[in-house]
Amino acid sequence: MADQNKQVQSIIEYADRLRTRTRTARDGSWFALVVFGLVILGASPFYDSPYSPANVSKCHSTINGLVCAGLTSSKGLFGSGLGSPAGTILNVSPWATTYWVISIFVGICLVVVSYWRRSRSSGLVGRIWPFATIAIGALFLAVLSQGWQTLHIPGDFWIRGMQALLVMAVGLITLAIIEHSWPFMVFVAGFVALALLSCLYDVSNLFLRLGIGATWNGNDQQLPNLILPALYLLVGGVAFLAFRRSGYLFTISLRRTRDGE
Amino acid sequence: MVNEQLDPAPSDDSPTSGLDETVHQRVRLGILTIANEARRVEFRYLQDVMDLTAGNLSQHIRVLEDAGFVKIEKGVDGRRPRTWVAITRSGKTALREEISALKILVERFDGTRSRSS
Repeated sequence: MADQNKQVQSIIEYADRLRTRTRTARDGSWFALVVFGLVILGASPFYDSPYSPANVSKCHSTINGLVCAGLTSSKGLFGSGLGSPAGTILNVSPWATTYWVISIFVGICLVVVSYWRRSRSSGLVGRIWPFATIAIGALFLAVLSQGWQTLHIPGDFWIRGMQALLVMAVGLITLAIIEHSWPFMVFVAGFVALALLSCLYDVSNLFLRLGIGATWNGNDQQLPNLILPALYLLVGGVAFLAFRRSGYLFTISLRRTRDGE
Repeated sequence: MVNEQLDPAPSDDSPTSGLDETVHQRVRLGILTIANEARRVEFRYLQDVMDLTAGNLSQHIRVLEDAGFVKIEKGVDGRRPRTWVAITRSGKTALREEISALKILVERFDGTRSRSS
């Protein structure tokens, strides 16, 4: 009876080992974190613009909010659905939406290509198309919205121009579901929380209370809202890559132990 | 062959009655476990990970294909011929049932041991 129990347990352990090894070989979620982290960091110049309270004398109040003369003529190529709603945000460039659309789309393509290359080299083809479809769909909807104020969403939500973070969050949630990875899902939940925080709150206040960057002023006031989620993704990406490598080594060592090497 | 040692002709209430001969074999269980983690798996990956000869692996895959648990797709990637293995819906069901049957078996063994001690 004890021998049979050992046999059955060894079969279950064998299946678990194969499952872990296959997930490890297939997993490329770290790359998506690094790509989106860099995309967010790359947006910094659009949130440290001359459209600051220093130029408030050029602005006048309208029913849609504060509009600044000469600063709202261009909304870029994709309107104002992702961060630059009609010049009502003083610190955000009217080209922010254009940047977000192009960079997020390129980021999604890079992730898909990396998964495709990995599947060719490893021999494991995963399901990456749901990620691409849902992330591009979310991006498309955000552009179509032409500014979230038209959807009667409270201004507190879009006034900081950080809606693009939510589009990336949708993509990462899809990736977490595809990967069947609880650690990645928990990490992505943390990013969703940070994205909402960046949309709803001036993170610079948090930094100031912690004594970090005491010089946050009008021009760069929005930067912490980008820096915090970007660093979160970049650090997470590096950590997941490190865990992936250690996991791979772990499964190899298990196999060697089993084989008596 | 673990399954042959356990109970070759189990009765309905036997602890091993939930085990499927086709899936229970160690290599075939491994193939299904790996295939379940991806949309499709290349033959070479299975061979490397499970440390099997091509002939041996082919035999096991054929058994699973005959049972309708996997599908085989052949193609060429560049100049390299490739064989892909994809798990079917019934293969997923069979794998799930096999794993749960094995876990029940372990629980029963543990229960028997704790009663006898």
